[in-house]
Amino acid sequence: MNYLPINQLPMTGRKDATGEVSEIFNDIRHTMDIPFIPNIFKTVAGSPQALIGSWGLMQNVYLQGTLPMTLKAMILYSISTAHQCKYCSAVHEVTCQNLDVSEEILEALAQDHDRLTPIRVREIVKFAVRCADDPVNLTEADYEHIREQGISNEELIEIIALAALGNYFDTLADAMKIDIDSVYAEALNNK
Amino acid sequence: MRYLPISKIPLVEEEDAIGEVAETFDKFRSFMGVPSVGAANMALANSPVVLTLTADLFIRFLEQTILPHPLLFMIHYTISTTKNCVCCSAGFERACRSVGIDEKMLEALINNLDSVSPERVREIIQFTVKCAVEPLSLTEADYDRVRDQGVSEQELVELIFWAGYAMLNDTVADAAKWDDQERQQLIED
Repeated sequence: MNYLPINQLPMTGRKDATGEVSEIFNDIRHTMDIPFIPNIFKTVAGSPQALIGSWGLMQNVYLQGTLPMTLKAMILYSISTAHQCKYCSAVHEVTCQNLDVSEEILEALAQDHDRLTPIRVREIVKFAVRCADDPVNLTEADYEHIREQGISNEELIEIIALAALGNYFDTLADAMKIDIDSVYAEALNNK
Repeated sequence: MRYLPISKIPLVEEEDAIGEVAETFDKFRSFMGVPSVGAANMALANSPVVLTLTADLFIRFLEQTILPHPLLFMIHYTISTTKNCVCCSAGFERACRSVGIDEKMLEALINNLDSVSPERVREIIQFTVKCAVEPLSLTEADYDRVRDQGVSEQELVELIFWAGYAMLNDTVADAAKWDDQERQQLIED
């Protein structure tokens, strides 16, 4: 069993996993088409119920729904960089790269949303980051503005849920002090 | 059709719900022992995937967690009031009362966490609020302090999960503007 350095939380490896945890680990690898279990899921597996909940969130909000996967990855990357969550920023940056998001767009997502194009993508990203960072101050005008981009109510709910998911995973990763997976670290080093 | 006041998100009325949404509404009413699922769930039902996820997650976690429900409700109430989420504060204040949390404790949770007793509950709530509000500043010492209260590794993970879940709920409620639903008339056309 491995432990996280700062808080000594145990990380359940594939060989240690049994029962429901093992089944979810298999589902994670199969669904995400990756050969490893990300550290955040290994750590959350300290509670099978927390693992079930976290994977359920990931599956339903991120992997399903009507919004394009690239847009979702871009939104989550913007939120995690805004929160300075190193773990989630790394994961979402690599995901964006794998989805062919250019370096120029990645830089705009992290530093200056006004440089994003097309307008629809820019407005969705800005609205989503606002939902995550400052939801209390969203106004009727913000909603009107985003609806002018032709966003349906279903898409609107998904954008809000995605912002909430960003907050959820940033909270977990930062609170648990999760180390960046070597696969993601290498991908970023090889840029 | 009724709508939430600020966001104008339409509500899927309980009598109009079909399929997966109707099943989720039934499950929620039955588990919570309430006559209505409330405007929040009716708004979420615009995306059946999101509604099913949030309701199922909530119910399943509460059914199987090793943490006591009163503690979880107190934690969510404290986080939501700290984040100024009117909707979740009100909802979890009601949840706290429903499991017997008294006025003195409710007052302490929002105005003076240092006066919460017993010590174990105080340390757990302080740790969990820090997880939600300023997770980057958590240190080894914070983990040591909560472990000193006999908190197991599984409980620790469930506490952090619950802090994240409270952040998720507060974000959805504040962004969708559920906070005004109890004070304002829903818009009808």
